[in-house]
Amino acid sequence: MNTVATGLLAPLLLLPLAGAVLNGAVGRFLPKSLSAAIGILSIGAAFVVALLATLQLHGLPGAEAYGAAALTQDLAEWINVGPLVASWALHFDAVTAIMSLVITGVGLLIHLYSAGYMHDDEGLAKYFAYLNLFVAAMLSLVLADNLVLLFLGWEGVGLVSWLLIGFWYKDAEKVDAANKAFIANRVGDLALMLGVFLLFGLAGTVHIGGLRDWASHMSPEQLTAAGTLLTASTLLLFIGCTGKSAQIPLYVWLPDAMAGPTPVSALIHAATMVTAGIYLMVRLNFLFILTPFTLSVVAVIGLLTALMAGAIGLVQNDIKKVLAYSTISQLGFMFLAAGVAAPAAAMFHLVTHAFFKALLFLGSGSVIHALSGEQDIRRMGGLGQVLPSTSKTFLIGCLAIAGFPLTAGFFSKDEILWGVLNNQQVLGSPGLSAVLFPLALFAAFLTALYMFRLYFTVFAGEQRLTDEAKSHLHESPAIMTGPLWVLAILSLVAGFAGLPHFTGLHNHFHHFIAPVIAPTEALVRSVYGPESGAIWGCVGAGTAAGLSGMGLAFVLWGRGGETPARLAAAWPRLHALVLNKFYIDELYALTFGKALQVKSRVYDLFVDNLVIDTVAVGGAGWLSTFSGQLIGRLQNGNLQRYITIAFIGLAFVLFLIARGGVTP
Amino acid sequence: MIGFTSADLLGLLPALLLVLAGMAVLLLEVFQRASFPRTHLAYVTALAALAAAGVSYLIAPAEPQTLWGGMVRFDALGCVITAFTAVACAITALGSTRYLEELEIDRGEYYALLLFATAGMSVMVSANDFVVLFLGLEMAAVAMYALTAYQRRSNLSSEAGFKYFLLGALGSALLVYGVAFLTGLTGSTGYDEIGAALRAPDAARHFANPTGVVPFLPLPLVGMALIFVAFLIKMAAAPFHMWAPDAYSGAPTPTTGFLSGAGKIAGVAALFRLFAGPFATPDLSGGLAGWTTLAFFAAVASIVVGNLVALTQKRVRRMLAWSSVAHAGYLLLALCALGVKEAAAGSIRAVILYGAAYAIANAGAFIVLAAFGRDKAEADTLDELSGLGRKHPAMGLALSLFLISAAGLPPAAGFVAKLSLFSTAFAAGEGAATPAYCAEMLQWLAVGGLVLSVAGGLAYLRVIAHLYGRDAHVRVDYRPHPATTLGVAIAAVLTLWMGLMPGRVLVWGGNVAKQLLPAEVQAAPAEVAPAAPTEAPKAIEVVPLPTAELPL
Amino acid sequence: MVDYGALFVLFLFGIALAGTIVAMATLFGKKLPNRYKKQVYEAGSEPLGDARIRINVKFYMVAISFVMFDLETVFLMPWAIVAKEFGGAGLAAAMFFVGVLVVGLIYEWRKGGLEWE
Repeated sequence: MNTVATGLLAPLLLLPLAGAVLNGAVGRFLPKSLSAAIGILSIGAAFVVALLATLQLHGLPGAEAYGAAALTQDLAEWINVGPLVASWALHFDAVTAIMSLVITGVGLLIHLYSAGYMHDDEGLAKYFAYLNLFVAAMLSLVLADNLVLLFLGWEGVGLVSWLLIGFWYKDAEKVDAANKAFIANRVGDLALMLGVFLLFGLAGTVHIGGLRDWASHMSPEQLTAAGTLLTASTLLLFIGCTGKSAQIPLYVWLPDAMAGPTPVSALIHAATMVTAGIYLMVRLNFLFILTPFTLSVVAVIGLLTALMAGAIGLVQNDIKKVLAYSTISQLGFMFLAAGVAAPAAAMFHLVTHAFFKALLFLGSGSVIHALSGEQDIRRMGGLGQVLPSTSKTFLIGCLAIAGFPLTAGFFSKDEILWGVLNNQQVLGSPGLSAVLFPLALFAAFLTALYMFRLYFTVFAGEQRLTDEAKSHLHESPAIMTGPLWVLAILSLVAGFAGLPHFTGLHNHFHHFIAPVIAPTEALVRSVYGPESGAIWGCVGAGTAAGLSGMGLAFVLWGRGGETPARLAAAWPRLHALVLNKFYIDELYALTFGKALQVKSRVYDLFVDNLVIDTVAVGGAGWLSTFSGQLIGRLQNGNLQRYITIAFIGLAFVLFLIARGGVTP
Repeated sequence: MIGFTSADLLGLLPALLLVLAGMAVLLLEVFQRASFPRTHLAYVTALAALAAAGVSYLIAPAEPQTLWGGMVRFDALGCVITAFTAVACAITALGSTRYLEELEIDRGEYYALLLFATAGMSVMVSANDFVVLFLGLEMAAVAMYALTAYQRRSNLSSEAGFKYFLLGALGSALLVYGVAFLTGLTGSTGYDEIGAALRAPDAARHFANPTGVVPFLPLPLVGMALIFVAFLIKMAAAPFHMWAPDAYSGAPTPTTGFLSGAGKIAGVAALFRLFAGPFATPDLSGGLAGWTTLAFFAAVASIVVGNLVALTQKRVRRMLAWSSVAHAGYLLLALCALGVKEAAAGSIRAVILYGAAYAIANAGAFIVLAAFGRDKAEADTLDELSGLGRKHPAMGLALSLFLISAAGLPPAAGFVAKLSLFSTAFAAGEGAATPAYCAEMLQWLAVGGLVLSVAGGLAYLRVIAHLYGRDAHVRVDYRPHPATTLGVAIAAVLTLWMGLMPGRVLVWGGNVAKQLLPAEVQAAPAEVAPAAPTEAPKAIEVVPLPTAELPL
Repeated sequence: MVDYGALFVLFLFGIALAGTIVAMATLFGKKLPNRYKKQVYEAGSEPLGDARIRINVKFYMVAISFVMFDLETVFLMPWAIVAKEFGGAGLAAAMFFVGVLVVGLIYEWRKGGLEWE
């Protein structure tokens, strides 16, 4: 392990925090432009620091060797309870570098955009304070060198997410959405906490480096002995991830979280916070690789989520909800990659997704901004000419996410597909993998389909605007379109950082993070050898899936201004076929999708009450209503009864003594 | 004993300071016009209490001393607990001003009683003799009965005070009864003498059944059990908790925070002194009376009952009262771990941190609640608190912090405290000398307690959700009294400090452990392991424990 | 047991003396009974009837003051006997005790606890 102490990490963490404190404390006395400047500059400075740290890391010798080269900085002691040692210590390796750059880089762009988007809002200073606080919490999550500090960041981002979803707190619905997100996250956090505890019980440390040593030096006998508990702990960690990263069954909060301001959706609920689960999987890949069963579960849940969310995205009519389901679906892809022991692919997709999904969200924000708050795509259409920058960048985002050749999404998605095909035997049951690949292809197809449905419905065809929206129609100011273009360019070219090996070119991305994922890589390589020629088929299939999705979308929604009714009439058989083929889709439309549209009680009843309250809170809610009230009934205010119970307790104590049960 | 020395006085200096300040407050009260507001008395009280805390910190001895002819033990435990109860007293006093004015009970006796109660707690934890223990306990208890019933014109408050008094009297009676057994058997009331007699080689034969009246009850154990139960009543641990919700929700709001927080930690500290001292076997193996089992049952009952019922409560004060039962359970969990040699020192560290965090945050939470009562009514239901966080960001944030601490979430003190508590309990289950039946149940208790604490956490989070949700019901024109603001600030700063930098408090806890535990336990190899806390731990080089040995 | 013999004699003597006085008074005393004198407690308390009657809180004030200063005597008496042996430290402790009581007395006086009305 080649670690070098550095002074760069504390500023990286503290700069956004300082911005948050400054804006939180005195922001409301400052002019708006100054609050915005504080927010933007602090993130900008953090981005520069992250760049410097990455350069320093890149220059370190020994990055090739097993065990990651890393920068570290110890700040202070925190917890030192017997064997439990957790410090305020920061750790900066390749994966951290990538995450930090994405967080601060995309964060910077979104801060800039926010300055325009939130310009008229009274709570601008508060907004920037929260946003900076989020960046600080997220950075502490990725910089943590131990799981306790990581958990602190994990809770921190959840808190800020809650604050920002409920930013417009005067709207009760938004507050409810915020609380729902918080509770769903808490459920996941409980599992994560238990997982960390179990891990601590097994390994005797919560330090990530220590865990890595422990995992890599375990003999087969030790592994067998720890097997079940290790699997349990990784499963618990994964459940924690499903909360934060919106996977089945805890995904329910993310669509509602769109109640927050759109730049928040872009930064927190698309580009960064929701990827914390992926980060954790990659960060602890040395543990997950030891538990094939957990990996299978991860892969299956990831793929199911990708399919289900894609299907739901296809029937949504709220522009942000479509993007929200798209995010869930793409996160599912990343978990699929992590589950088939392709953490590099997961990480790569995380980065490209951060670019194009932030772009898409910001684009949707621009559309919403232009239409004075309209979010229903049925009342949009034909915006291409009116919003030139927005529509072009949005198209680029759609191409990237759909995996159009040579865009960023093309490379990252192909790498995942290749991982599914190549690493399939890593999974607990090899039979599973035969199912995974075609389904993953189908999910890629779905992605292209729903994204281009969105694009065509919003930007092509004839305008279906309300009069009110029409009167204010305008392209967004440069401070908003600027970030769009930057992200668009990144969405186009970012893929070249991770050119696949088979092209014979250098895969910088893979090379960069290789030390961190070395345990996984070593295992995968040792079992399966170098990549085979099948990869060309894989690339072809992936590309075909994306292109056919686009084509179908064009056929269905892109042919200039057809209304849904005319479309159904013109293509009755195909329309019916699509509907039948997506039988599951109809089911979701009936239960989830439709319920979402009308904010119905069915949804709350089914998911909230049943899943969250009953199952997820571990029956505590149920138990409490019964046993709690039962005990509460004893509490009737009658003093005689209190004393009686005290004496029964005393009698029990004496009984214990009498039967000798207390003496060991 | 003839006479006393200055060392004797020094050891009780904090308690003396508190008593003198209380008397001064009483005199100030009676020589002032009735119409004159008593706010300054709050400042006097807070100043005296903080001074007492500071003095305890300064005089804390490096080696434990026995003063007053063996009646008083002057050591780190007494000093630390005195310091934290005194700080809680200061916070409570500062937070009471506006509240007392609103309810028209703004009299100086209130502050004097607070000071007397704190002094009583200080004496109680310093006691090395059952007579002194009883003295301190009653001094604190009588003052607290009066504080509970302080709002004379309110039926609720009077009822609360009366119930508290009756159950408290029951507790005192059981304590005296238990002491009578031990004194009758050993001929002494001193901890040291009783401990020596109980541990004497022929003790078993001698004490087994000297009378033959009750052939199946070993009398020393009965005495210890009665004393233990007396403390359970005072601490409001289940199933002896029944008085607590009524008393806590009827007492004047700021007092409740003090009673339930400071009162509890003083009680548990006195228990620790007893069970690490006279009632312990030299190597603490399960304790002479096997009290680990008793503590275990009480802890389970308290954690389960407290957390579950807290979830169903609609009123915030009652919710906090119930969850204080759960907190008593967590403190008892540490007492279970004290019975295991390997975990003994850890349990003391954990209980000091947990107690400090709980006493401070609890006092803080209640004074914020008190500050938001309006027009002679408490701000008690969730609706009445709605929007507090929006209208009064500082107060709302502070209350959230205190609740977060109680829920055991970072970055508040409660998080680290709970963490160290549960890890200690877990470690206790792995102790080599731990009897097999203890091992599993301790670990299950640790895990179950953790799960339940999450359930209980929901009760707190619900309050926070209301603070920041929906429309404001809190009156808009409200401005907190400067004293209250100061009190809240002290509590908040301490809560954050202990949450982010708990090292100092843990060091104190380590000192307490060193001075409290018998030398045999100190020498136990498991306790050599923790690194000196001042060194920044090189966490990278953590040596993994061999997994094969863990009985998970 | 020898030590206690004298005490036993004193005990017997006390009983005999009290018995004699009561017997003489009963035998030779002049009796003028009336309604009030026939009551058990001449102070006027009803010996029979509902126990839950309201008693003026002022009585309690007096009773508490009485108990307080009564106990003061109980504590000071033993100290007074060995005051010389206890020396300065004993004096200081006793004075502190008295001081505390004085503060209590001042408090009671200023609060009006010593006034009947």
